[in-house]
Amino acid sequence: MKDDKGKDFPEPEIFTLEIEDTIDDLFTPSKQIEIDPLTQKVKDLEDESDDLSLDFDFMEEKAAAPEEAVSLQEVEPIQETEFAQEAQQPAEGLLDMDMDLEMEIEDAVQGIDEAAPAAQADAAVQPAPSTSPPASELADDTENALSELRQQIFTIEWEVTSPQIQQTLDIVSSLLINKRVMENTMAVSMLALLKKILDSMKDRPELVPASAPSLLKKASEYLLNAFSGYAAESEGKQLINELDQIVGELEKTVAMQPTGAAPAEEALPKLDAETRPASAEAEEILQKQDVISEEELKSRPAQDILATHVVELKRCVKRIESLEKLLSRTPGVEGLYKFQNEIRTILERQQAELERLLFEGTGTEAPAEEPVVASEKKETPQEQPAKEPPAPACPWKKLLTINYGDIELGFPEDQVAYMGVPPWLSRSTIRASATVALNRLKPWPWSKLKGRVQNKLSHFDEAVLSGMHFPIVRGIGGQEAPIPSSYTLVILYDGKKGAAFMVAESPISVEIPENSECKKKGEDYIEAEIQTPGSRISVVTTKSLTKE
Amino acid sequence: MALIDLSNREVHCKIVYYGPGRCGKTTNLMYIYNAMNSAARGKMLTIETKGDRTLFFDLLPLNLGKIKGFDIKIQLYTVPGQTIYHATRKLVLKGVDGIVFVADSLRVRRAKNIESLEDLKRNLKEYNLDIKSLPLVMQYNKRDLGKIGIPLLDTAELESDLNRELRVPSFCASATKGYGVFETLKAISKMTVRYVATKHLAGNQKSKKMGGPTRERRQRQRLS
Repeated sequence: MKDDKGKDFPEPEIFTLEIEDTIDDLFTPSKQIEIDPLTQKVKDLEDESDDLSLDFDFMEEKAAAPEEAVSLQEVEPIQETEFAQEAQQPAEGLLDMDMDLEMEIEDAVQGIDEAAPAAQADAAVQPAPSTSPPASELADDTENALSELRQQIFTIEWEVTSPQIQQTLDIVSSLLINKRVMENTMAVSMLALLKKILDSMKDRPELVPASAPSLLKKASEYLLNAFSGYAAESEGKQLINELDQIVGELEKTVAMQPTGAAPAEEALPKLDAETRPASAEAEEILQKQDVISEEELKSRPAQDILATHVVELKRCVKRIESLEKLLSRTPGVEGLYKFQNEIRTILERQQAELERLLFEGTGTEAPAEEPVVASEKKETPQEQPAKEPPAPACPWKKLLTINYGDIELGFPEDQVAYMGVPPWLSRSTIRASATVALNRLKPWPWSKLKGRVQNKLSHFDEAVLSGMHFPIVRGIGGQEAPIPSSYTLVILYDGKKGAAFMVAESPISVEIPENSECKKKGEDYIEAEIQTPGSRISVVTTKSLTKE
Repeated sequence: MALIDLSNREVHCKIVYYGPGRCGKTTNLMYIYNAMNSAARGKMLTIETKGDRTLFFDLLPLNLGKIKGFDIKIQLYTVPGQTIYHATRKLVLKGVDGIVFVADSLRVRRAKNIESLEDLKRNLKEYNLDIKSLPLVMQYNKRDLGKIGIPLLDTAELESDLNRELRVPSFCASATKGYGVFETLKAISKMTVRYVATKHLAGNQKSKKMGGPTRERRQRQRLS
């Protein structure tokens, strides 16, 4: 090779010829090796090179079935001891292939052998099973599904898209009901955690920690190895811990972030029976409740049933509280503590809801056949006026009122969850947004929302509150009043739904006289109109604001 | 596209091993890596990250040393063969100078081979490259499996399926045993280097002859 620096560009032809010579010199094997297709282990074959070079001939590639069947007969005794002897071609060749491919090849080989003598056919069919583990179809299915899962997770690691995550979730779900998987508790736990992470990924991929995809990959590889018999239990436990941590992180992050349109429902983590572990006690309680609902539902009044539920809920809450206290003092179980805390919050919310139905006298007239549905329908007191003799026209005794353009609006006091001037930093953002996140109502990042909200919202924990957001309604009563820069934000929330709107002034409390007339309206976000001696109040409720 | 760094006098060529899943692309690279003299090759790498996502392909850099004052480096890449890794495959193909299409000789993989070749054509087209204009060789891998009774496509069938239109050099191979691996590598390397030299160096020479003033002429212009 010449070093010709004086010349900027060598003559291409000469240059190329020189490179080609170098390629011929350099690109030659310095030793003879063989790669094990299964383990990718490299074997030095310098000693055996002569023998091996004989058993492969490029020109002998036509599949002459009878001849090969004979050669298989010769190979068969070697294959029986293939795990002891490393370098056997049939094993390597077949192990290089997919499980499905193996089946296809097996079929193909059988097809060839139909024409061959019976003895030869036996010999030809035998090698394929001998190279794969003698497992049932179930085992094959499981391993195939796990292999598919691993591939799918590889894809996710490269690119996170909804269809890919959905496909992965489908595989995980199918694996969770796979009989072979169900026998392996560690695999079930791992898959359940994978499902949680994937669910979060699907909803909010941007919140998923950067380490999650690689951990998913590790888990999928572990599962695949576990069902092939290569995985260590300790490794599995460690992976479960790591996955659990990710789930904890995700739940925490999701709780801190504003979520979709239905605020309260979505801000709270989902607690469906499929994904959440249930304690024996909780199951017992649930069973008990089932018994009540099935046997006594028809014979007992709805109020009694609701009261039983409230008692049970209280009992559950108390038990969780004591457990929560214990967990709060134990380091390293923050995820579990948070999990318990969320359950308690939900139960307390349900309890409060039921208590309201019971003690506000709105759930008493539920028909025996459909107590729950009926009671749900009676959530908003404004549906009651016709049935309540003392106040036939107006169910509201006190309203918070404001002037909104030409009309006077009134809100039921028990539904006003927040009322105040937002911090100046957030004012313009809220004003321009379609939704308001409660987080925005904090004057400082470290401020608490807990003391700033009231009624139903005050039942939630800080973390849950921080994640809530509400749609902003504009233009009530068919008109949109001008909003000054330092407006008052009112959030109505009934325990399930909520909405916010901006008004120019702070509401004042007004008592509604008993003889006031109440006319149901149900349009332009106005629930009803109350005619008092001096004025007419258009009542706005959560229901009327959130009605489509 | 090949990187020709004239200031450092380096020529980098990118060769991609393309083919359906499990056809033996990585095994080809592994064989080259393990059997080749360590002086001529770098470390075999798996490219780890791009942002927070991992990109999977293998890279084996080969160094031909200095020729005519130029450092010639050839980078061998593999793509993930499975259909689902379309995006990765396309990305790896970016700037390719030569391609080895590794076909699986198993009869049951016949359709996969064709599908993969079509995929290659499509991906190249998206980079405005024509498969017919790029250096390409075919490698019919796993030929040794025919010996144990596994139905293989014979070379005529493979040629008909994959190489009827392209008419590029083809090699029978067994990547696990190394048969045909270096033959393929030599062929594609030579073709690629020739392609790069003709396309880029010849272009540069022409521009040098046709192009702007030389240093002496510039000096003369300045003096006048």
